[in-house]
Amino acid sequence: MGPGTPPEVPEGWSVGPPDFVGVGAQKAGTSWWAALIHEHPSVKRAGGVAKELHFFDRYWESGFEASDIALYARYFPRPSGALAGEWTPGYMIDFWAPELIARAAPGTRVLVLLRDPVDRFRSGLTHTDDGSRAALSSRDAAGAFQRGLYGQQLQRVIDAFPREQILVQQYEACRADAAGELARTFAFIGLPPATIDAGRFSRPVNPTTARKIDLTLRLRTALLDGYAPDIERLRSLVPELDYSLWPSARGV
Amino acid sequence: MSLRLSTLQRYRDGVLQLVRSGRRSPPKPENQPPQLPPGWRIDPPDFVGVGSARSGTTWWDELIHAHPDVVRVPGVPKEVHFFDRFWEGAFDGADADRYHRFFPRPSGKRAGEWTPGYALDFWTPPLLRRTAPDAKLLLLVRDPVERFRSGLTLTENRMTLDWKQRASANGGFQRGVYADQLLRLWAAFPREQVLVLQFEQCVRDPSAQLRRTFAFLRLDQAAADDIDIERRVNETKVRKVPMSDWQRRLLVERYAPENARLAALVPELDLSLWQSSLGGRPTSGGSAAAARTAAGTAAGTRI
Repeated sequence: MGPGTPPEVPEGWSVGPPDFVGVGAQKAGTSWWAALIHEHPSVKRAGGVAKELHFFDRYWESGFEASDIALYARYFPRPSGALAGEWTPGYMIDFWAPELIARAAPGTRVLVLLRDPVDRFRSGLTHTDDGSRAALSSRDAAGAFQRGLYGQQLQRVIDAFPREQILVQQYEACRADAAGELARTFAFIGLPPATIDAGRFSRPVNPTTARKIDLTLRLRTALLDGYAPDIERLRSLVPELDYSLWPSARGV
Repeated sequence: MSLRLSTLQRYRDGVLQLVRSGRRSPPKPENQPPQLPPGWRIDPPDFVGVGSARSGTTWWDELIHAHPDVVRVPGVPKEVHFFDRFWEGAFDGADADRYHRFFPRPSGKRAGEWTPGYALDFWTPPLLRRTAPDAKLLLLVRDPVERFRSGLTLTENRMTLDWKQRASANGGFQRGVYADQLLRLWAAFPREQVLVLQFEQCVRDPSAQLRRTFAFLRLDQAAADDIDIERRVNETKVRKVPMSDWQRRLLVERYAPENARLAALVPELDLSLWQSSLGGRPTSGGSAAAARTAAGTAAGTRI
């Protein structure tokens, strides 16, 4: 998967590094949240540009040059006064990506949406497999587990960006108070307050349509024990989250 | 053969040999338990190596099995990979019995195995605890940057598509995040049942580290003197994949906080032997933050 070719720049628009980049997490409501951000009248996306650019996926293999920085900016045309950005949830997983994002867009606002890691694991397994349980392998399970190691992932984001350029939000909080949380996102990106059509808040975007697996008690316990050290790490990195919203964080 | 404390040249050759060594072919999906020799009995394993891939585990496993009181029935592999498929947790007494059948031994002898993926698979430590509650666990770790580079050989010929390169890079990175693996082991087993060995220390002073291993396994340490420690193990002809300067520098920096967490858990590790603990060349604005975080973690902040 790649970003495709950069879009045509509409007349009167100009390109530049993105004003915001969402970096994670997969299966944590990022499509929904990115769609809401783009409901803001001052956020623009040129025709044909995807929510997820996956621009940095391939740079583990090849060097990252000044021309790549310029290329990235070409995906973000915007008219004067408007903002542009993207949200690729895999960036947070790729250990090389945060540093490259910081080089390509040093002033950008970094957005992170997290979700209870066990819930994310369950959703992520169907994501990889379309619900055919027999096809799920231990490799799928190990991969789904690793995508929920938020503490380790955020460490890399924090090492690449000044802390004040990173906003970490929780899917559960967004579900409970979409308007309030969206106002936080807007303010953080530097957008003026805006009233978004309330109907958008409850409309699912990219929902999990496959049947989720049922976790056996033993699997759930193994997941809780497995995630405990990383949740502790996350807690020390981002103490301001409401961990009571996460069943997995109870008892940690 | 007796232990020869080698000259510097032989020592260097040994290191190069290990660095070049490859891994055995991937596990067969279904390993069959061996026949039970007459008079032998079946018990849970006395020891289980749980990590890490590309860290010299084949070498160390061979040395343990060179001890006169350790046995392995022909046909039982070093890596049993028994727990790989039980990630959903459907594991019952019959499965446990079947695992034990891999470890026949005559009275007074010890038996065990070493599957480097066990420490990585989050579901395995609790299953291992149920199945072999008294087993001693061995975790052999190596500079994660060197471990990563060594693992690239394996992926070279199999992974060709772009996204798979990405997936294999991420998978390789996770294998070197040892602190998380150790914490999961400690969640399932008493800490005194887990021995963390360092590949570089094993290379530098194999005799002392082998004695340490034997002592941990409650084996006679003196047997270490009669083992040919420099036995060549698991040599491969596979061409190494070179890492670019950028890749190496990136790995060094990204592993630094992970190594600091490990050092806080296992103070006896000598991380001065690891390039990835010395910090990379300062580059982006994040390096100072990385150093701060590493220092803070090493100083004992919450892990």
